[in-house]
Amino acid sequence: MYELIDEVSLGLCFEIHRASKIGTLFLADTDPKSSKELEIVDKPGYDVFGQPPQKKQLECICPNCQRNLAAARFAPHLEKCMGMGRNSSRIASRR
Amino acid sequence: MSVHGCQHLSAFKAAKGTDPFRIIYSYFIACPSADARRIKAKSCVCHTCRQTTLRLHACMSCIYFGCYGAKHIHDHAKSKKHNLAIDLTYGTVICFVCEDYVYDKDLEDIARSFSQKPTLNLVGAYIKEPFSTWEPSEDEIQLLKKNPKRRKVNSNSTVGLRGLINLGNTCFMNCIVQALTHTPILRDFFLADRHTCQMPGESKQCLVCEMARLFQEFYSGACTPHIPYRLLHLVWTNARHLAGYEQQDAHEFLIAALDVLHRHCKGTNGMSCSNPHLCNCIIDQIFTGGLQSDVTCKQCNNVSTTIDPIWDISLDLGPGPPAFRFTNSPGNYEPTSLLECLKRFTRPEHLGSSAKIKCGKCHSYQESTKQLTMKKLPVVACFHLKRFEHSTGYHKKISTYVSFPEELDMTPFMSSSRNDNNGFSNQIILDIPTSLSCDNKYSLFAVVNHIGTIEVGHYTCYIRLHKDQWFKCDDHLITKATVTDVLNSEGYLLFYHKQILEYE
Repeated sequence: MYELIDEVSLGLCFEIHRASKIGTLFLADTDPKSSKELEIVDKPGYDVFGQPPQKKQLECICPNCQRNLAAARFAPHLEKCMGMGRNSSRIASRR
Repeated sequence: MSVHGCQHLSAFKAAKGTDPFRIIYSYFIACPSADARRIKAKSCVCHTCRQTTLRLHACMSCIYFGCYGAKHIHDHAKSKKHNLAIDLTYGTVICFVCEDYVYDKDLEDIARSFSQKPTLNLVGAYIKEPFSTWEPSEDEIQLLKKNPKRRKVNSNSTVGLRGLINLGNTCFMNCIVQALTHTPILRDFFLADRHTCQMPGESKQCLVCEMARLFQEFYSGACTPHIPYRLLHLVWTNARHLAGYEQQDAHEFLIAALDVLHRHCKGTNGMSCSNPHLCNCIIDQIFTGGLQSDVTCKQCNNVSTTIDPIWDISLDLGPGPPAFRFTNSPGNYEPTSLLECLKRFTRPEHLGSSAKIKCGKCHSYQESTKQLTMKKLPVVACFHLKRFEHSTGYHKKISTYVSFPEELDMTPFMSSSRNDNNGFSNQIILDIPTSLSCDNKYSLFAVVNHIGTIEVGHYTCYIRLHKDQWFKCDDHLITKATVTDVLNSEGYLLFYHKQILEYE
């Protein structure tokens, strides 16, 4: 059992030794600034990215009619645009 | 600074070539067969002290094996001026002049080619090519040195988390997307770029490609919420029955989405994808389980068995007849835990006189008992608690608290458990199963909840990341949650992932 552990440890030593000799050991380093940027935030009033609640209105482009519109109203727009829903089939077929 | 060995090794190669290395490596390090392994085991002893030690080395200039610890190989190198030896455990070369291990590209290439054969002999039935770690080229090393900013995903990073904008009552879709993007085996499939689009040139119409793009968005490290408008458009285009602005059911969306993904995985060649038993797409590999239905004729005890493919297990809540092993008083009984729901799901049900079946064996119309069990478990098991009653003119939500565990053992609900016990009548299902096998053990990784009434409601979900951290996903708002929050939540869709995956 211990022989297995020793053998595996030896393998790991060779890996690190080789990386150090070839010059690729630095690849495992991370810079603290980037790590901090991605750290999970657990504060009331903020989301995990450290942002307060979003107020900005986001937009998107309808794949059907290429119009620019508010993301929060995309679903009702798409329903009419694709001619689905109760009232939209007559209107959509006219376009 | 690269894989060029040392001057002494280069001189040795110039004089004697790579054969000494080849011979030693192929006989004693990468043994291709059981016989070769026996030879290795017998001959790998130190020639000086007759011991088998860990770091045994083979001299590259003559036939001598020596230990490292007791310095026998060092003595040999000094006295014979044989400066190069190979460590027999891993095939690394040591140079006694440099007093260090040296790494040479030619020798490593030889080693790799020799190592492939024994590996494939052992696992070739399952693996076509052995795994090798990525090695940067010279140019890549230089580039990486010049650009030291590195993002590493550890248990404290937000990579994998992303909010989703509500496009107008689309919280049901957002929750399913969160559950799917945090399904470990599905995530691995997409991040390993395993999808080949079946609609070449029309990748924008392929829902599987859209899923792949979605995974890229989620694991990009971006922190602004994603707007899944293309996904919504694609799903509505391919599943017309779902289209419409009204609030929809998350479970219905899940099934429709899996169906479209399954169809797009196989392309438009009708027959091969219409038979679920033959389909081998990633969706079927992950989500498809087999539900066995056994109908026993009361007259002659003949059992008629059918197995149906299923993507989820829908469990009744609300009052119903008790199963044999409930300890509560008889009469109407409401399950208050997932285990009780599963017990009810798998209990033998007496099909009354109005539902007589024609028995295949005794050829008469008889009353029968029917029992459902799991023949084959999917990698990801989705349990759907039927909280929404849709009787004619009567819409109600069942908000009873149903507890569910973090870890689930499905063994008592398997067809094999039934077969071993001649139906469940004699079996006692323990609440905490003590089976030793790991085959049927599952871990909770996502919970979709519905808050509100059947008319006005909102979906949120909890997902598990980094093994034991839970997060609440409320459209664009992602916050940290505790496992207690998760287990105390009402629970509508429960996603469990098999703990141990086996080769088919």
